Amino acid sequence: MCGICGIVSTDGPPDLELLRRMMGRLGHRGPDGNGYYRDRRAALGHTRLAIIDTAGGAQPLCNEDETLWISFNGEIFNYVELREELRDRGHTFRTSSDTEVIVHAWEEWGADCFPRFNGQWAVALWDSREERLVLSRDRFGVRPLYYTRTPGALLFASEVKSLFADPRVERALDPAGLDQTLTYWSTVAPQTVFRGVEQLEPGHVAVLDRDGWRTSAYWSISFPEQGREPVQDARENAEALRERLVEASRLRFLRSDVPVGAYLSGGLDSSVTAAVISQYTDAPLHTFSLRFSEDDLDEGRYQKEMAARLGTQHEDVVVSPTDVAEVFPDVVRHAEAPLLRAAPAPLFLLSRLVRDNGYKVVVTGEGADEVLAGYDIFREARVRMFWARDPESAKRTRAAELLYPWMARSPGRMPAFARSFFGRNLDLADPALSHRPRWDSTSVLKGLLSADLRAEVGRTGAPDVVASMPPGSESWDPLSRAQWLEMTTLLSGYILSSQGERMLMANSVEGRFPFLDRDVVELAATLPARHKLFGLEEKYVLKQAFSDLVPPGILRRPKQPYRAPDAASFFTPDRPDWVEELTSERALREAGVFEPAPVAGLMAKGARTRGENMSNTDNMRVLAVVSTQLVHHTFIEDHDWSAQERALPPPEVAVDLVTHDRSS
Amino acid sequence: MSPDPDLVAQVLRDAEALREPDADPELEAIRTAILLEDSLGIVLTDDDIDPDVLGDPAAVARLVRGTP
Repeated sequence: MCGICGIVSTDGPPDLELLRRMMGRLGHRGPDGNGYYRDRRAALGHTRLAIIDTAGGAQPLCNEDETLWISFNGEIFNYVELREELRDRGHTFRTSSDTEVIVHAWEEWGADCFPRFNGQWAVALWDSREERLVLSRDRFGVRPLYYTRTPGALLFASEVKSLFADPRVERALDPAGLDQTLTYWSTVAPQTVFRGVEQLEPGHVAVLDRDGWRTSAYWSISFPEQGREPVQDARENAEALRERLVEASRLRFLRSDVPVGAYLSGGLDSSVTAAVISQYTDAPLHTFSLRFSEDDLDEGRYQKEMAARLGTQHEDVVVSPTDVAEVFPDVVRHAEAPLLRAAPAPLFLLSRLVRDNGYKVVVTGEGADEVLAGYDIFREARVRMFWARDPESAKRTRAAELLYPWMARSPGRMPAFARSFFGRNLDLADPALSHRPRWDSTSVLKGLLSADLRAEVGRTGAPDVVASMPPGSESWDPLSRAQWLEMTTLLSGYILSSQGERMLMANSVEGRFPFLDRDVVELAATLPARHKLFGLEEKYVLKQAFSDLVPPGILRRPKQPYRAPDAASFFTPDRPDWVEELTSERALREAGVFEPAPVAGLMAKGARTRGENMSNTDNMRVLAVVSTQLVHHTFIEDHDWSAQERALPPPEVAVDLVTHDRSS
Repeated sequence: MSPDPDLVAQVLRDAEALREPDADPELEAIRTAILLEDSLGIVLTDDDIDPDVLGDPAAVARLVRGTP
């Protein structure tokens, strides 16, 4: 895992000082080394977190005749097998790195190399003979890749802050990006919240050459027609899933030249990955957990149970609301996006714990809830559809109690709740039936926007995700459509980004995700829906596959969604001064995003209640205001940038064909 | 068209393994009804969504196979 950046210029050699400033803003992604390459048309920069071939894998790296250069962030987990295949085809290798495999794979197969990669990557290839830049991003967008255009140049980088090193890049929030965030919880690629800045879509490759700029998909998630799934036997599917997950976990644990740890949340997914590593590898395992000072959020009991069962060396960090507020400006600076939940903040603290223990790679259970249908949103959709088959049925109305046990204690509220929960915006023909309640309840937040911004949002409008659903998706099972929506919106834009990669890389830690392995995902997509969500039993096939490795108490416990203290974090007696300053009328008017009066009412309500027992919508409102104001303050007003740039050590690779200087 | 008999047998077997004996019988019947409707593509009546019917594996088997 590393930071990459670059410039392709049409009006003279790229500015090397600009490239080095861009690299400096990616220092946290690659503290182990750095390097650059420049010719008369292009420049590539790299900051390195050394994990594979720590001695020989410095970047940018080139082919034998130095006409093809690469700057690469990520891992190709099947690089050993690909290297053998390429050797058989006559390629010779100078290093043991996966980076060099990409160079030769591109030479051998061109853009067809990307579907062969099983990994997580953002890569830039520069072919100096053809004057062609190629950018590629992994299937789910685990690794970030942004780009923007200035007069005479295209700039790309792992993070937006690197692009902002060029003063010619406009600094403004994009109403369409805010619109998407206040609907889907995040932007959907290529959209970002910054005007003029785009991100390469997951599973895509982009080319810039003499014929111009173009992007195309090399992969997209697809599901079989409902009822035509290839294997209908649950046991057979559980065995196949186990085989692939074991291999995916082993690859991610063993293919590293530095020690790899594992997260343990206390839930099923990370328990499975940690148990597999423990069972199928010989190396000792170090596990890391996040705990909360509030009992209702804490899962420490289950974490300890699993760690004891596996005999791991275990560390945890206990997070309080005060801790969340304290690190939140750093969290937003790394996430580079408004956040509707405070959940990324504890994960920032967890990756710090990992780093403090000397680790820079962890395996986690991320992706299981999307790939194997673990989220409540899938169960809610199934209950809504059950109710809709006979809305007059008193029995069907009670189905909501299976999701929300508190309703059994409040039977008087049930009919009214059922009508609002089940009936609102319910159309059985709607391909986004599963997600309408979330999107509707989130869109309420737009009521806080300033009049000008509301008008602009109305004029421009965010691209409609539903309209981009693949042809043929109408024949998928409804659960598959819901999974597609979840993977396209929340997984890439929030779970893997704001809550995932960015919080890990903030502390120079790489995350590896067995559930997002190419072969696991492609198998899971072919499973009948009932093997993933069996009635209302989530991740059914996963539980069947690993019932011998995970204790019954964890296997059968109801899923506890990962939540952190939200609004309450910003109304503690010792809250930091910036909360009040950034939500003041003056700051709100300067930013121009939110209407000051309703925000003042919201913050007064939070202060009165100390943020406790606020509704879900009010929690999201507080987070939206606080985080968006921080985004504006940090990125648009350009505060304290110099303090955030790292002074890079001398480069390991320095090739400048413009001045004919080189050292490597 | 009635559901594939092998599928019915498998769903009933798996559903039985998940049954929670101490749960509210009416809610368990609803939980089973959701599973059957979704897995087998059938729609049950309110009379079918009954603990006496859906709490008895043999009765469920007769119900989804359409036999008395």
